[in-house]
Amino acid sequence: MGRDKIIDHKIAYWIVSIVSLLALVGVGGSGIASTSNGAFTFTWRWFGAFIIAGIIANIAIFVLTVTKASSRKAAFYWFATLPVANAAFLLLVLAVVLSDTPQASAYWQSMLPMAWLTTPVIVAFFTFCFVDDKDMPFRLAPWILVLASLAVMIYFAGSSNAIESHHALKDAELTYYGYRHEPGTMLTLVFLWTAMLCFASLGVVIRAYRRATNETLKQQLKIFRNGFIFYFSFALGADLLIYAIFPSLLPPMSFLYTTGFAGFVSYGLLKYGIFQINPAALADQILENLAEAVIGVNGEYKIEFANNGALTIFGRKPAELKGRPLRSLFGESVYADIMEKISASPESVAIDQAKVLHQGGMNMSVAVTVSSIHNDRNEIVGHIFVFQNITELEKKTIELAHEKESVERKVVARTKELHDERARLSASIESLALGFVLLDSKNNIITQNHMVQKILGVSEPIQTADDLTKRMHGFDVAEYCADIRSGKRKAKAEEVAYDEKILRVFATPVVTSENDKSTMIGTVILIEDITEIKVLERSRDEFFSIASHELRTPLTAIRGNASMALQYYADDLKDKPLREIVTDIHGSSVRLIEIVNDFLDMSKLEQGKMSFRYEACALDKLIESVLYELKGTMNESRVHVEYDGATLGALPKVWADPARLKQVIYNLVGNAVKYTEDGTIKLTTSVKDGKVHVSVADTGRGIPLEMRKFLFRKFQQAGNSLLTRDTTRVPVLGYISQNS
Amino acid sequence: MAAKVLLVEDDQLIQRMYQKIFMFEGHDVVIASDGEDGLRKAQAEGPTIILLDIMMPKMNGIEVLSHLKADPVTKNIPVIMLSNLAGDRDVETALSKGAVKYIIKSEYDPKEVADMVNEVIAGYTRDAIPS
Repeated sequence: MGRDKIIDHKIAYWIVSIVSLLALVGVGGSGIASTSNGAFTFTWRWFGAFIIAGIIANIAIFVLTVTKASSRKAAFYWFATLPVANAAFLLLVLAVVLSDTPQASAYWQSMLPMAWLTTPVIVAFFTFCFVDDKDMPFRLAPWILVLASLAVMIYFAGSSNAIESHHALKDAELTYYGYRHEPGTMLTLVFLWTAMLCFASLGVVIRAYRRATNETLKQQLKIFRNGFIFYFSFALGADLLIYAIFPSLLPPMSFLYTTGFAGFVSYGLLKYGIFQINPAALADQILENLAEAVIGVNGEYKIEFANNGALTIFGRKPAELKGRPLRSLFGESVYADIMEKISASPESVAIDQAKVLHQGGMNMSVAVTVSSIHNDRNEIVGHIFVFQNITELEKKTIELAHEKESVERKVVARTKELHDERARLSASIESLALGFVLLDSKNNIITQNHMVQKILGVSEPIQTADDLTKRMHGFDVAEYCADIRSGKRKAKAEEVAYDEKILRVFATPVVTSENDKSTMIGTVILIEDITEIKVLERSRDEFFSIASHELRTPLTAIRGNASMALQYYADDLKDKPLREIVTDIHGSSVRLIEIVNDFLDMSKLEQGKMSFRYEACALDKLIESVLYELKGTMNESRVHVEYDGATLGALPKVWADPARLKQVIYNLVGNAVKYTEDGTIKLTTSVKDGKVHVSVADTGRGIPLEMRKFLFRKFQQAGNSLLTRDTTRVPVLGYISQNS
Repeated sequence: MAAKVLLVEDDQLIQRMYQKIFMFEGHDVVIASDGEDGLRKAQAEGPTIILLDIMMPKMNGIEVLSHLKADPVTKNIPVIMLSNLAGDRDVETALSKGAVKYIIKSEYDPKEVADMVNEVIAGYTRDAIPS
């Protein structure tokens, strides 16, 4: 089997071409020489224009094909010679048409057969190269017949009148296309010969076209066939039939049909890649280059064919394998198994894995596919075995399996870790005394604990953030979360009314940070039921309110009566101890009333019911009045308050509630006085940032560091124990401010 | 000069206390233990001045005040509100309804209360009110 049929027949082709070329050159050369001697002269005839057009067309086709065709296959440059041969032939025809004398015309006419006859030969040649061997009904031997008869005809054309009568043409008729030629006696035979060759070629082409299964091949053959028919009909019609009946009727028409045919084939080459893709020719190449081993066996399972791939897999060259029985390639059991499978499914079998015997000893793992070969009667006449080396594949598969196992183990371990983690988290969340809701960035609920349902009083877990919002009065959960996430709102607990409860809601964003970039992926909401706390607070405040009020009535009575006794019964109270008794009763009641007033103030502050009446206050007057009231206590403690009267007097008025402001100053100075012994209290003022700052500095016991946190909290005492004898001596830090 | 003081107050302790002080001051004292009683006695007794407690059962002091000022017989009698509440709202309400003064009982000794009453009486008799 040849790899390239054209190359196999190359020798024949070259012989034809070179001989023609030499002959043309030789004879043409002598003709040109005669022309320059003056023996041949030419006259322009208008018909010549057509022939010139044909020459140009053929040259153009040649150039176009040479430049445009993408591949440089052998077939391509073979094709290109067709237009060149055509152009040369047409040149001779031109010389015939334009010749001035019958002799000259006859001379050139004798040249024609060589060129004219080579065209069908070339075409036939292409045909036989183009089609597969199996489509070719005959072999190389007939070629010799064709070429031999061609040589004979050319000789006779040049040396006798048998084909063309070209000697005695003194009175030859001059027509518009030049001198009319008499046909020779054998001309018809020559025509018949070319017709037969053409018929044979065309028949082969048509047969191949019908049997082609490959679409591209079919297209290629179609173009070739159509061009051939075009060429053939003209050639038959004009040059054979009409010439035989009416010799003078038509001028030389070859410029038309040879050019046309060249055009067809050029088109086919450029569009469908004629001669380029010959699937059949490629088939051999493909087989030889396959990595897989392809083995063809006959009906007795003897190897008839093996490709090069067999070397890798079986360690034997294809030549070695031919004639061996197939079973020699396998172990007994493997072979038996394969045979069993084939008899079970004769058409085709696929075996995933089998072991074959390699010559070198290392046995290969292969995958096998078997298909059967049929003859025309559809009987199985053999099998094709394709072996694929899967040793590497096997190794990789085993490795992969190990990897997979290891990964699976890791996954199991990791999953358990995750489960544990999740269990811990769930337990933590469930154990919270607060409701816990986790939202994602789109406010969808990811997790919630049971407390949520309990607090909200629902039997099902809540579905969306909106469910929460719906029942909360004036509180939009989604908006709240969005504000927290965008940083608009600081995370702060909000008190929200919900049905009949009061809830405290606190949200915080969930942030993940990766590569210094932090992303918000959700929000955590904590919900606390503070209804009880609130109720308690209110009860306590109300209690204080009511209690204080209730206390005041008897206290007023004590005070009033004691006061009246002192005032209106002074005579009866001349006795000093008795007078003291009544005085102390009065004093105690006054103090108690003060305490009750403080309680009331505090509870009002707490309930937010304290109202302040702001007005412009003169600080110096307030301070002076405080100092006046504290005069007694100051003398007792031998304490002296230092202040700059001028600075005080120069202070701007402040915007405050005078009574409350006085209370504050009284508390500050009072505390300082009470807990300083033998010292000085400095009272200084300054104006800064639109505010007046008053500071009271003493040299007394002071408040220990750890107690300072109790400043500004209710009822805290800075003593170490509540049970000191000296309870009056413990600084009461008091409750002098609350968001006011 | 002797005046008739109508004291409208539900707590006996306070009743007895103020009774004494006005006695020491030489005034006549009429006591009413609740709002309704107070109104009746105000119409019947024609007091010079009325001391009206706010926190009372059945009718509170503000209500009594409204009725007093609505009744032509009693509307010109000066009324001093007595209370242990220091709610500013109550103060404003009472004063706007025509009370002359608002005294927080626990803040003052009885003598001080008596002095205030004397002042009011003096003020009212100076500007003689046609009956």
